[in-house]
Amino acid sequence: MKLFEFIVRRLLLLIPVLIGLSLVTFAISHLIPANPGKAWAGEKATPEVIEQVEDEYHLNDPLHMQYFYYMSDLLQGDLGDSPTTNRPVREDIESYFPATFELTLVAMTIVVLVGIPLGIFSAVKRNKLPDHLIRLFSLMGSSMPIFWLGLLLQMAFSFYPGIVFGIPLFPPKGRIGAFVDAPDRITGLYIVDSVLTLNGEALLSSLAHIILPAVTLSFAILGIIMRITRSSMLDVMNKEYIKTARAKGLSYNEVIQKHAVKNAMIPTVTILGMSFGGLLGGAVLTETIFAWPGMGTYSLQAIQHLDFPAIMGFTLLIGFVYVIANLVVDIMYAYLDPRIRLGG
Amino acid sequence: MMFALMNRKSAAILILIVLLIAGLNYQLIPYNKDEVLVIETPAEPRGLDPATNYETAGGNIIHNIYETLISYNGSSTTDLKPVLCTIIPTPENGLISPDGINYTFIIRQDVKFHNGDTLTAEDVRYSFERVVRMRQSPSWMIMDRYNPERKKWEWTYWHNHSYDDLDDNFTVMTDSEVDDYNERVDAHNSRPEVINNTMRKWTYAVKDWTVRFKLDAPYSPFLFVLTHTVGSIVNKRTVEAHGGIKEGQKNDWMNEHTVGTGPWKLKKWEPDRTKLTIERFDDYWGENAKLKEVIFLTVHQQTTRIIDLQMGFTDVAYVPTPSLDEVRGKEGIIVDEGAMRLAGYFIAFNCEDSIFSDVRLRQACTLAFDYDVMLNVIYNGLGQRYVGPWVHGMYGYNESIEVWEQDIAAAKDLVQDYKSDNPGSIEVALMYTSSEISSLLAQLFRSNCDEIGIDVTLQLLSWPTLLELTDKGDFDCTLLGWLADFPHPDGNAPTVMSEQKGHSNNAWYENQKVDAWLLEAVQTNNETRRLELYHLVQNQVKRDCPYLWTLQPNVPAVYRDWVKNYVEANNPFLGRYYADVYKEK
Repeated sequence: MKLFEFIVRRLLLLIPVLIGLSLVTFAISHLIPANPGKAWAGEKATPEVIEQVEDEYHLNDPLHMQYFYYMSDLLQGDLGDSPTTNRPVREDIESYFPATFELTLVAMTIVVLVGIPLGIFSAVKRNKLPDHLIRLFSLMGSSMPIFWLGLLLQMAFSFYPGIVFGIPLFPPKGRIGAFVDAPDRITGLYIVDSVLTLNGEALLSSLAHIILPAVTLSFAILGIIMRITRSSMLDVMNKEYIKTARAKGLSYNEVIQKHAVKNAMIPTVTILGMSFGGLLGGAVLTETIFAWPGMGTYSLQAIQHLDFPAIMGFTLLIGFVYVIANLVVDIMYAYLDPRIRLGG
Repeated sequence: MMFALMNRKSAAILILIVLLIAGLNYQLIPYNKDEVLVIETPAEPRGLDPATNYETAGGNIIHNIYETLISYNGSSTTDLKPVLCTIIPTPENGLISPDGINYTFIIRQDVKFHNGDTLTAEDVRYSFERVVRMRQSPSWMIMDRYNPERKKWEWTYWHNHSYDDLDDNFTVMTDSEVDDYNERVDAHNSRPEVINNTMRKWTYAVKDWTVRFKLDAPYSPFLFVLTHTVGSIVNKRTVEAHGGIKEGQKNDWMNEHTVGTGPWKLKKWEPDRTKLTIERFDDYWGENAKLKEVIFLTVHQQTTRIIDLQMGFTDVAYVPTPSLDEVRGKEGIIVDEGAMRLAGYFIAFNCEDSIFSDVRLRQACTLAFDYDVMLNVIYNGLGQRYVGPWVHGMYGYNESIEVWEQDIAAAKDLVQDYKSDNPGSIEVALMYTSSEISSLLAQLFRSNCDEIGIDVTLQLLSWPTLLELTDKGDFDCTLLGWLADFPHPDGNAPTVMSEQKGHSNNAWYENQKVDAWLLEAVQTNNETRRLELYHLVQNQVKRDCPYLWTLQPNVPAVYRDWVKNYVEANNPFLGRYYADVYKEK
C-alpha cells in the first residue's frame, strides 16, 4: 500500500510540474523577437493570408490569452497543429517518439549489458591491466564527441567494408531499408511490431539498422556508467560486511555477485534513470547522422522554425518522461535496498 | 539476479548474432533495384495539397503527381505547351479575347485521375475555386492582382457577379448555384470593403469540355501563373468526399493524399515523413513513366548522403555547392554543374530608415563587393551574375544589361563624398541566417566594406526573426534570396514596388517611375512595349542599388552513372520530371 501511495503521490506531483514547465517554456519561446506567422505562411503570402495564420494560432493575442487558449486545448488532449509539418502535434509525437523510444531502449540495453559488467570487472581487477584498459575505454566514451563517433562508426562498419568487400556490414542510416515496408503499426516500435506481425523482412532490416545508432548513443553513457559502477563497487567492497562474508568462507565471486553488486547499484541506477529520461527527449546529433526520425530531429526542426505548438508539445513530453523516469528510479531504490522506505 | 554478468561465452554469442543480422540483411534484402529510383534530400515535403503547398520539396512531388492546364516545353521557361488543355490560348486562335480579358481552355478528354475517374471541365473550375476559397499561402498567385483604379496591389476575393456579358453559347451555372456562391462569400467575408471595391474578379463559365476565365482587366502573365503547382487540377468528387472546401482552412486529407492525373501516383508516405514513394500510373493519358517507382528519402546529414551515393544505396543525392569537391571525380558518380535555377540571392539595403537611405552608400557597397571571389570561391563557379529584379531565363530579362563590377577606388570616392556631408564613422549591421553559403557571403561583405571604411557587424538570426525585422524596417541590410514562383517579371515585381514595402519589398525601396512602369507592363497588350518597360525597370533598379544582386546559382545534380536522362528531365522552374528518367546498369 505504501508503494501504491508513493506512486499516486508522485503522479499527482506531475501536474504542477507540467504546469510550471509549460509556463516557463511558453514564456521563453515567446520572448524571442519574432512573429513566426509570416515564416509559417510563406514569405510571399499576402497580408490577408498571414493574418489568417496569425488568427488561427492567436499570435496577435496577448500572451496570457495565448497561454490560456493553449492550456484549454491541452486539457482536451489537443496539443495544437504544427505549422511546419501541417499535422496535429499529437500525430507528430506519435510518429517520432516511438523511434526515439526504441533507439533509447536498445542503447540502454547495451549500456546495462556492457557497462555494468565492465564496471564491476574493473573494480574487481583494480589497478591491474583490465582495470586500466576499461578506464581508458570509459574515458574515451565520455570525451569523444558523439557526432564524431557516429561518423567514425559509419565509415568503419558501413563505408569502408562497402568499398573493400563490395558490401557494407551495417546500414549507415535510417530505421529500415528503403525497399522494406515498415511493419504494420501496433506499438510504433519496428522491432516489436515486426515480431508481433511475423514480418521477418522488417525484423531483420530494423535490427540491422538500429545497431550503429544505438552503439553510438550508448557510448557516452557507457563511460559514465562504467566509472560510477567501478567507484561504487570499490566503495562497497571496502565495507565490513563484505569482509565478514569472506571471512565466513564465501567465495570471492559469490561475495561479489550476491552482496556487493546489488548494494553498489544505487548510484548506477540513478544515472541510468536520468540518462534514459534524457535520451527520450531526443538525441539530436545521433538522429541527424543516422537519419533516425526521432524526437531530436523533430525538436530541432521545431526550434529552427519557431514552431510554438511543436516546441510546447515536445517540452511537455520530455517533462512527463523525466518525472516517470525519476519515479521508476525511486521504486527501484526500494527493491535494491529494503532499508529505503518510499515516502520516508 | 537483476543485472546479468556477461561472461565471455554470452558476449561471443551476442557478437555472433549481431554479425549474423548484419550479414543476412544485405544478402536477403536488396538495396538497389533497377526499376526504382532512390533520391536522398535534406528536407521532407510539408504537404501534398497543391492549394496549400508552398515549398520546394513538396512542390517537386506535386509537379509529378498532378498536372496543370499548361506547362513548359522541356527545359524552356518561356515556351508553353498544353497539358490538360488541348491548345494554348492565344489572341491569334481566338481563345484569348482581343481585350485580353477572356481566356478559354479546351479541356483534354479521356484523361483519368489516379482513382479511375475521368477529368471534366468542372474539375478544372473546382480546382481554382478551392485555391481561392481556402486562401492559403500560394493563393496570392491566383488572386493577388492589380486594381487598375487604385494602382495598388490588392487582395481579390473570387466573387461570382454575373454572367450577363458572357457568350450565349456557354452554359453557365444555374441561378441557384450562383446564389449559393454569393451567400457563401457574404457569410464569410469580414471585409466589406473588399466587396465594394472594384477589384479584379474572375468568373468561370463551364461548358462540356471548356472552361473560360474572365478577368476584370488584362493581365499579361496570366498563362505563366497557371503553370505553377497552385494551378494543379484535382478531382472534385474525391475532394468533396474528404472534407470539401472550407473557407480559409486547409484540407488535412488532401495534405497527405493525392488525387491527380500525372504519370505518377502516391504509393505511400511514411508517418515519420522520412520516406515518400510514388509509383507509375499505368493509365496515364500520355507516355508512361519509364521507371516503376521513385523513393524520396529524407537524410539531413550531408556526409551520410554522400556515403550512400558512393555505395549505391541511393541513385541521387543532394550535395550543396560548397561540398561538390567531395564527390567530384569519384568513380561512378556524375556531377552535373549546369542546371540554371530561377532564383536570385541578394543583400537588401534598407532604403527608407537606415544609413542606406543614401544611394551613395548603397552604390559604394555594391562597387566594393568582390564578385569574383563570390562566384569562383564561394559558389565554385556554379552560377551567373545577374541584374535584378529579374533573373536569367525569365521572360523580360535584358541579357545585354551589364552587371556591376568591383571598383574599390570608386567605392571609396562615394564613401568620402558621403562623409563630407555626414562626418563620423559608418557602422552597419548585416542580418543573415545560418547556412554555409550565407555565412561565407556575410563574411565577404564585411571584409569588402571594411576596405572602404564601412564597419559591418554580422547578426546571425533565425529565419522568423529576420523576416520580422525586415518587415518592420528595423535593420540596415540583410542577406536574402528569392525563388521565382512563375517565370515572369510580375512575380518578382513586388520586390521593387512601393506598396510592397514591409512585405515583399525587402529593401523598402520606393520609386514612382518604377511603379508606373510595372503597372503599365502588366496591362499592356503590346509585347514590344512590355519588354521595353521591364528593361527600363531593370536599368533604374540597377542605378538605384536597393539590392546588391549577388548570384543566380546553378543547381548541381549529383547522381550515379547508371541514372539516365536525369539532367535532361529538369526544368529550371518546375524542377525534375521523373517520368523521363530511367536506369541502365
